[in-house]
Amino acid sequence: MIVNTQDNLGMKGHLSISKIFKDGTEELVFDDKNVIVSGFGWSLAYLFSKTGSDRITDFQIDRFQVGVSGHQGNQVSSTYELSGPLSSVAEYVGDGVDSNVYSFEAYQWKNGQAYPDSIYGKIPSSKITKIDDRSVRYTILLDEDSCNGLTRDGSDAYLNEIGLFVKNPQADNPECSVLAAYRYFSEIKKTEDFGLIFRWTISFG
Amino acid sequence: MFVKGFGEHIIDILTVNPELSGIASASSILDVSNYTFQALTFGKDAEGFKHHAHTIHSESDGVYNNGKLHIVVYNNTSPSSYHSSATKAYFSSTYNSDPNYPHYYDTRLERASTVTNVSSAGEVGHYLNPAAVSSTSGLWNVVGGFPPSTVTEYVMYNPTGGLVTSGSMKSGFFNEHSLMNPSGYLTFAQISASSASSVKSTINGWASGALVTASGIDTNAQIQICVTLHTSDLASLAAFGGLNHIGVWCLDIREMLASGNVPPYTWNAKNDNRKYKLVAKKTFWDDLLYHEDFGTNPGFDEYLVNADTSISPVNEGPEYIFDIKFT
Repeated sequence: MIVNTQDNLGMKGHLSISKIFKDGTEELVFDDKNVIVSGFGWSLAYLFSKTGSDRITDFQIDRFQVGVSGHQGNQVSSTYELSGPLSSVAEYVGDGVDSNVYSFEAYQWKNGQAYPDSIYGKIPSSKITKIDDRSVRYTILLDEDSCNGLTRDGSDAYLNEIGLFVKNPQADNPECSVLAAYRYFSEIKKTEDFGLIFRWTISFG
Repeated sequence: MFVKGFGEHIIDILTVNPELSGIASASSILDVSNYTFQALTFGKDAEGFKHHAHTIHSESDGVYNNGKLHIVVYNNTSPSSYHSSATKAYFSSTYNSDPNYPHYYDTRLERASTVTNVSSAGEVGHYLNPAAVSSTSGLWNVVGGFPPSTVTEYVMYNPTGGLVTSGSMKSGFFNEHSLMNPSGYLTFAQISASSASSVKSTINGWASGALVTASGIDTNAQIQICVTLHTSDLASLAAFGGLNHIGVWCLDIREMLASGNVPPYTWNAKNDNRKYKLVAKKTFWDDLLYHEDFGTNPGFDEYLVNADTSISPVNEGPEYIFDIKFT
């Protein structure tokens, strides 16, 4: 007998995105379910078989990527990377003076192989909240000083995809993360006029 | 199927505070071994805990059924085998023998009481294992479900009291190797392995408990839970009404921490202070331990009680494998 975990558990994700302006007002710009991708299950398999890291924190979702080339076709469980993730720390934090995002470079596990040079944003542990016994919410803030002025091929580039990543399930050195959840959303031209708040809930049952 | 406890367990994993790594006295909470599968349990229909070999035929000074596993067979065919279905049919006017259909919100194998005819032994929704400790081991032959680590006797009668067969059962494998606590939780071997066959030789043939193996992680995020019921345990469970449920349990870390029980959570079969949470269960409509006579060879004696010495390691019974695909 083979059990399919995600179907069996009613495992699902939900993402809302709001613009937050300097006066504190919020404008909801996106609110929909998302895809839990196979990398999350792959991480669980390493955990429960005791063949991965011996630290439970390596199986936690503690980082994210945003990108500019998302599309509907990526919203399938087999997706293992963003289509066009931001490609430098500077694209996340600008000159780094005012941004509140902590961005860093690490490896990424893609389709059975580790690749270097992926850029991530850190999700502070204080922004990982247990809502109830079977739900957790990740709150990601791209403040007004983050992810601005993005361009691709000389043209403005708009944010339109986001992914959550499991930290380092195989205890690789250096760390190698794997995509756990993905969502494509309608394009947002990020400027210093507003921040973006992503509220991402993963729940069971 | 996975039950709600698994979702709760995953949420606990995703939200345990990583800052604990900086606190020497608490950092062991972050050890992965606290979060893996920790125990299997075995069960059957709730009312069955008052029938089959649980039935009390005699009692003298707290010794039930003369201290023997007392079996009454109601099946006409294969008379030297024990068919739990025949007992269920015989008592069907008063005995609802259907196991619970599994439900996502289940927290135990059977939702109704599984108390036996010895109510002082308690109940937990699955087979208990009083033989694990000396203070209650004398109850094993009526409470069930697993033989002690010593040789025991069994007698099999027909419904009119005629002797069918009798004999000795070798020590229960789970209790001989201290793999199961008094509440019936069978521990897992704390090893990683690619397949069950790859580790049998190194762990003395399952003598470390149930196994998790990792054949197919990178292709299907798939792992396996493997367990073998050895002949003595197998025969005992068959006599007590068989096997309809297998439960998979993790540690209830949250509950234990809340009660001041901090890691390391080491296994101790006789004094297990760990709390468990049901995360998955598999229910079988029919008894997994169905067996029959084969010609003149008695089913119970020949195929359940006695070891087949041609098999290595000796004393091995059927192996059950659950494939879990985490995608």
